[in-house]
Amino acid sequence: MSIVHLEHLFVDYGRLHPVHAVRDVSLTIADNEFVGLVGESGCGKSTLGFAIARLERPPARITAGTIAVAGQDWTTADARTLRPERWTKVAMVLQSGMNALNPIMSIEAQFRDVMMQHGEMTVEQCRRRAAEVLEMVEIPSTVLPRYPHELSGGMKQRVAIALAIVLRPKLIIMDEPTTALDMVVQRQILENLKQLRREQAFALLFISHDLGLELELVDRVLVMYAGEIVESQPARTMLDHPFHPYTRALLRALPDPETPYAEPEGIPGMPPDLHEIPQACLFAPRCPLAEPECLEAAPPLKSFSELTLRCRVTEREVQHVS
Amino acid sequence: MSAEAVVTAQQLTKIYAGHGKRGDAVVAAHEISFTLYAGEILGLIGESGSGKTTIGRLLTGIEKPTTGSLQWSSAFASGHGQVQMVFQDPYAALNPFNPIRYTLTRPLINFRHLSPAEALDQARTLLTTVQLTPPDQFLVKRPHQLSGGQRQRIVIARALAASPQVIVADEPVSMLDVSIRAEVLQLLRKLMVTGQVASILYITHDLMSARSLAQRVIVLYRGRMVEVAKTGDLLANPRHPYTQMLFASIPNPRRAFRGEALPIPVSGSLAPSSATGCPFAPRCPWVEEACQQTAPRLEPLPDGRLVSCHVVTRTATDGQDASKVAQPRTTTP
Repeated sequence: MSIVHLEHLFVDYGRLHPVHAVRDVSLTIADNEFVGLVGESGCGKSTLGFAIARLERPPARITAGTIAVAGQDWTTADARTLRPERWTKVAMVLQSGMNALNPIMSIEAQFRDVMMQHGEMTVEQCRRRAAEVLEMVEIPSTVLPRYPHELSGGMKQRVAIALAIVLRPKLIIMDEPTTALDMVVQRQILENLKQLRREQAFALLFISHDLGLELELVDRVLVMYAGEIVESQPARTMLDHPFHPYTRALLRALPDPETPYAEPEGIPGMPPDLHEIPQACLFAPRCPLAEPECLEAAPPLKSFSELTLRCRVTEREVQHVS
Repeated sequence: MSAEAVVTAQQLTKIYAGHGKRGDAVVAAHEISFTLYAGEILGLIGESGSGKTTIGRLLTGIEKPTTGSLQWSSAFASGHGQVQMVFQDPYAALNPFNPIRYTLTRPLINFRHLSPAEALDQARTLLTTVQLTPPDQFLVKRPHQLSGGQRQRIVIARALAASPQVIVADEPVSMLDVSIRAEVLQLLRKLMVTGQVASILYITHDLMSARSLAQRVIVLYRGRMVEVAKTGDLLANPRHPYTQMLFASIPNPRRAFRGEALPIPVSGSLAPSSATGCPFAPRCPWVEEACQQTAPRLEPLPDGRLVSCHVVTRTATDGQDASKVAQPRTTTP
């Protein structure tokens, strides 16, 4: 069973001179699967995450394609239909837990707010369940009467994660949940998520610009470039056999703690202007492998068992490996 | 290192006096001593609240130390503008109303007393130095027309405009995409190699970026130096438990694929440390009786590095590895 199934999704910003932020994205997230979505700022990864949860807000709008969540069509569902599904089917954790928590409500009140919206629960039942999920992310239940400003950034982010899992959703979307945090705090959250997975069944869409973090946590990584998925592979094979030149460049930009010092390389150039999409491979201007043909026609997305790839040059290598 | 000292920090301590209801004084930096040498990029590593930015600000003179002093070597004490800062957030560090031309010519006119025409000419040179070419195309732009990486280059060019001896780079790449970080770090290194600045203090929370830039690093924890070592030595064999924790925190997919546990349990206990004991004791997996009572001092190890840890010092004299000798704590408070 799949929890999310997207077909040919397009999301634009604006009407007059629209920016085509997400283009022709099809993807499936299986039940209990951890999927990573990685790319540079502006590649459309957050836009896609918000659109899946149908939390896109004007000027963003879905212009084509379908979104199905747990077999139900969400593409055109209105707010009233979606309200009971939020937190119970799909929950979201944003970059900064500080923005996600209400500053004038105690932590306990925020848990109660979410839980009482979605079921007949007593105050006591709410408190017990809140304490239970807080414990899963290593936060003592003594924080329940506290207010967000009394907690550190890392604690707030873990409270936001606890809040996301409290109603046992089938999918959690996390948008750069550790980007504003210190390394040690990021590590704790990473370990919390691995532990949570052992205790509770849920699928995760983890959005980040850090491919190393993704590869460590998730089962499968989707690489996004300029609004399109350019590669999808199991994390285990991607680390040693990346195919798309952009994935390779991202890996080269990443320092590997297990190898002796190697100069991390940047990716020269900039992503294209999404107002006008050329009929060509969008990565070609930055690509060391680009061939004349790459500038003449957009490469199709091709599937090879567990690999999906949008590159006409490196797809020739696929057979050699598999 | 036989190189010439540029500036020496001696026992720098900065205490922010408490005020208001929560009147606790905060010791942001405690007896920080180091020498910054010519031709060196020195890394200052720690988490938020470790005092790394405070030390950077003390070096620039924006903040005055509560006690302790900075000794500038006469060869490098050029006075006004001798230290310049590169800030973390290139989106906040540039005035959005000013074109780049204004941002770059102002320090040239104010600090180097150039005429407007000379300043404009020099601004073009600076833009070329930070690889924003052709310069005339960038002079007329305002910050919102530039990408994050380009803005950070402008911030670096502005810092260079005052002809500083030392640049304090405070998390210069943490807000940038991974794909453009390497280029900004390479630019900083190039400034050093081409002699544009005598030395750089590189402040970061990311050990891996220090690896690609700094020759030597100071690891800070709650305002104290806990380990000082050559970057290669530190990463090959981190000794202080906090340094080990930082190292273990770096995302490492290969270790995860092998199913290995973290080399050291990572803990973020917020329990306050005892007033006299080691500040790291509440989070330390090796904590001993002595750690609760007296704060360790920075002691040299045989390989020349400095470590401030009772357990490491005790075991180093027997040639043992602290992580194998120390008893892991079984109960968490």
